[in-house]
Amino acid sequence: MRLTPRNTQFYDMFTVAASNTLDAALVLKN
Amino acid sequence: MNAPPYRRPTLARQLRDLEHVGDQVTHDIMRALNTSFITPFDREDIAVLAAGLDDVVDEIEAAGDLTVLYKIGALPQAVHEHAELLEEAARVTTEGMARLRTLQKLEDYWIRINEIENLADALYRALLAQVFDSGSDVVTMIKIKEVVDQLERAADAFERVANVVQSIAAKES
Repeated sequence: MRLTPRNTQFYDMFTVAASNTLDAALVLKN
Repeated sequence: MNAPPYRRPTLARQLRDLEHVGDQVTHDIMRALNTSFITPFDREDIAVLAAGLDDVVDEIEAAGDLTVLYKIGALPQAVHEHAELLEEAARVTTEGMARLRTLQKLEDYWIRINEIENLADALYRALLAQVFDSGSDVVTMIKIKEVVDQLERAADAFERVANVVQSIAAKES
């Protein structure tokens, strides 16, 4: 069991980084 | 990859801008990592995952840039199919990353990425065979091969990200 609180900002930043890969892939496909 | 050659410089600039966005996000993650006492998972995994996502955009940007630098004309249809696989990998990665917080259904993500990478591998080999069989001049063949190699590196980069996520999930479960 995890006893420390999660630092959620990392999840948000990883979501942004992943979304950026999708933007790049869409431009590449054009 | 579908655009006529005259539009490619504009698209390459868009990719360069997105690469800069990726660099900034990676920088933000590393800064947060260096200033956070508590992290959601191993520090090393956070750094590797951030670098992996950054690498994906770098590889995609390089593919777009090469088509402009090499002044390549029409590309084989299979190149477009490869680009579509990369788009699917990016969609699956984006959905997977949103599930990182809960670690729910992440297995679906890395299994699908692995399948896409296998499809991309097969397409890559078929594409090279097609290019070498095309009867084009050697320089054109080399130029197209360089672009195809770069697309394959992008597909590999998605798989490396999925491998990191799989490792994180294993440690956290």
